[in-house]
Amino acid sequence: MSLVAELSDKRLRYRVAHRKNIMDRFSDVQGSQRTIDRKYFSQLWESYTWAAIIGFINNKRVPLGTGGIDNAFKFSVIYNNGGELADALILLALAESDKGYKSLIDPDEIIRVIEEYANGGFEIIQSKLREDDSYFNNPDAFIEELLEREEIEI
Amino acid sequence: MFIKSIKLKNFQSYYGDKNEIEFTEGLNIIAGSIASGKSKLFDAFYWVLNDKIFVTGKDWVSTKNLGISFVNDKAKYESNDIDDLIETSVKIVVKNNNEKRSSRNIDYTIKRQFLIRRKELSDCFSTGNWNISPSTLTVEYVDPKTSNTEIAHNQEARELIETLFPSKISPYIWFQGEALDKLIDFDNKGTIRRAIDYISYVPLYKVMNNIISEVDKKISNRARKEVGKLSTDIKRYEELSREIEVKNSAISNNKKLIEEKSKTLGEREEQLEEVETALAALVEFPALNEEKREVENDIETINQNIENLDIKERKKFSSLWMLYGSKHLFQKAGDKLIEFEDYRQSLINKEYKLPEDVPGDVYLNKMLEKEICLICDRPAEENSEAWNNIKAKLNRKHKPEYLSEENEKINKEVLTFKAKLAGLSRNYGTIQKEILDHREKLDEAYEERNIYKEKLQTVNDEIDRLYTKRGIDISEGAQTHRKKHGEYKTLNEVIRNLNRKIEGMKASIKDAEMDIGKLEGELNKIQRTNEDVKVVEEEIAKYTKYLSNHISEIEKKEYDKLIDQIESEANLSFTDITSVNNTIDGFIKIDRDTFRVLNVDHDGRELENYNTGHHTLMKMCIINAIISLTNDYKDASYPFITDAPTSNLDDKATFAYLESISNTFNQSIVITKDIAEDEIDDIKNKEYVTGLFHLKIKNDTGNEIMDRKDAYTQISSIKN
Repeated sequence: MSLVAELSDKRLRYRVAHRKNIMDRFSDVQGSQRTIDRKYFSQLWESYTWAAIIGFINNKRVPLGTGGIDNAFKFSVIYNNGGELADALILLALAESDKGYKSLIDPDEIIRVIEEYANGGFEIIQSKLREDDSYFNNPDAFIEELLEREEIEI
Repeated sequence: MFIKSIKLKNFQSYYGDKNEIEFTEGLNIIAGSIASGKSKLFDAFYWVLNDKIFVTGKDWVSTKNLGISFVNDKAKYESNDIDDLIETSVKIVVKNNNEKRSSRNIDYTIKRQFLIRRKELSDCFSTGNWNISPSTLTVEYVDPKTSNTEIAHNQEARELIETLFPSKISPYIWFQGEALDKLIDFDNKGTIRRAIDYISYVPLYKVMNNIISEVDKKISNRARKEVGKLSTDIKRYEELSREIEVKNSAISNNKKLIEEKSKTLGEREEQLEEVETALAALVEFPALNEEKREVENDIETINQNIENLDIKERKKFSSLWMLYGSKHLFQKAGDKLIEFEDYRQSLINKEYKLPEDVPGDVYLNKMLEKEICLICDRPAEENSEAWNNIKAKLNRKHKPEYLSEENEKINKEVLTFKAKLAGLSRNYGTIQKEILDHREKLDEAYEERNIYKEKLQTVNDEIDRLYTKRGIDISEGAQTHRKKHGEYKTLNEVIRNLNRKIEGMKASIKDAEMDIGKLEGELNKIQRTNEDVKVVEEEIAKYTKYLSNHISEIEKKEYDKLIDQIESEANLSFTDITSVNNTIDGFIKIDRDTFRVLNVDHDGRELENYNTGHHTLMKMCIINAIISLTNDYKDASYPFITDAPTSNLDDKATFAYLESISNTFNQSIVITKDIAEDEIDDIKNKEYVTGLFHLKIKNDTGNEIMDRKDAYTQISSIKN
């Protein structure tokens, strides 16, 4: 079975607090009509993926620990809806996994790495909101955050 | 006359009963930013004396038509029980120092009170939930003769107030900046003439003239009768005298009618002007309305564009854009994939490197085929021992490490993700440009929308101006137009008829005067029985006739002199104020025929670059001149109170204006927003400012956003 197939059944976990303070704040529940006044993301997996990428880029990896964890969505949700983003997450996990290329046959490792970087990403977002709770109220802030990221040349 | 103090209780934004200002003689300034309660303070003065409050767009509205709207909201909100009573009141204390005898210069306390009682507990801001008592007016004073405290109520109080502040003069000494346009309208000749007539002494000449004319008429009639008794043909004399009397009576009646009809004519002409103005507004409205619709449609289109851009942005964000900044990580992932490939290759290379003593597979297969050992040249028949040895060497290679299950699996994934990485890298390269292009499009759309919103605001302001300045409800459109057009036609007809009648009456008067001339001529031809007897009435009549002729001339001369004085006085303050402002210059000139007010240069040529500031300044200088001259002539002084007179002037002109009125009036109270908080110290130190107060809106909740039920005006006394 391919890695993608094995990942499909796995679930991405996160802290309940992050669900409440960030994911629900910036995502609608699945499948409403898009309008300008709605939340920035239309589905939960989008805000999760966004947090994970922020965690990867800022190299902030925070283990989930125990307690206060909520199982949310299957990896397949990202795969079915996010297309290239799912592949990107796998590649990012590959880049940062201690197991190197062997992680490509270790779906649990891929999941764990993504979870921990997502957790770190949520903490970064949370700290931004603590400084200014209205930071992401304006939709322009999401693009602003993107453009503030530095491109690191290797 | 000067105002000593004002105290407000639960009136508009003034909560409770601690709101008091003690004024000084000289210039008192009340400053405050927008919505701090300044206009409400002016309203308070007006309400006490006139039981009316100014409603923007509508004019002064009687209290009985305002419900509980002017009762302080905080006080209403704090009422929690049925039967709760709220008192709204304004009390002003004035000192009347216009009496000749100083003992009669006493203080008057004028108070208006309005009471409401709660009858329902739902919605404290609804008029229907309160019982309302009509407002009451009292004037309290100590009678200088008896030293008793007297309190005049309602009608009596109103009469007392009329003696203190005659209603004809009050619009000119107490005016609100917004009302200035109606007070003196440069396009309406009636207003300046009326201003002069109301408040100057010149109309007294007309009164004198009327009295003298009456006396002259009576004396002339008596003289005629007495002379008639001495005539040689009494019958004929009496006949002629009667005819002259009849003609004089007709002339008198016609003159009275001309006066009445001229007054009516003036009123109709003013009405006509209003209707013409309204029609002009109605003509403007459809074009403005069309422009408004177009601009609204354009804004709608831009909004749609922005919405589409937003939708596209969110889609793109969630498909690729959010990866921006992760290029180095993808490179790292690529390195890991290459790492595996290198490892695998090394395994492959290792597998294909054979021990030195074992020939390669090709040789071994050849040996088996030829059934001979090519190394030692010995035969190796199929299934012989030699042949089987060779076969065993061929088969002795085990499965290569690179082909292990794990490596095969990894290899498969590596190949898959190599392809995915290549695709991602290709797409990644376009992200930054896409984001920046999108941002540019969005910014352009926002800017375009702002421009159109400003345009819309301008058009709406134009439409509002049509409504407030012209006083018509344009929304009724065609119906109003038809109605106004009908009024226009009717008024024109009425005016034409009046003019015709007045001309007819004037012609009749002329004819009658000519007839009287002829009759008097005939009368004089009739001899007297005794030429030496003097008729006293005849002598007196010479003087009354002389007076009657000359008072008219004096009236005209005095009028012209007064206009000259007004111009001169107005130009004194106008040049003082404009000397600090480079955009306004020239002089004020009042056209003697039309009473239009013009701005002219040294040679009397009209300057044409007026703006609202010019108009305002010229009007205020004229009003100041008129009041100042009236005070001099009548030997009385009234306090000058104005709200927002300088909103159209710049800072320098504002201060120059304030200084000029401090020199004109014994007491002036100017309510203005035009002094910024940081300028207050400056103005406090100016000698010509004797009183300075600051208004600020605040609340006790500490919230920045103020609710109507929490906010109230606080008065601070800075100098007094």
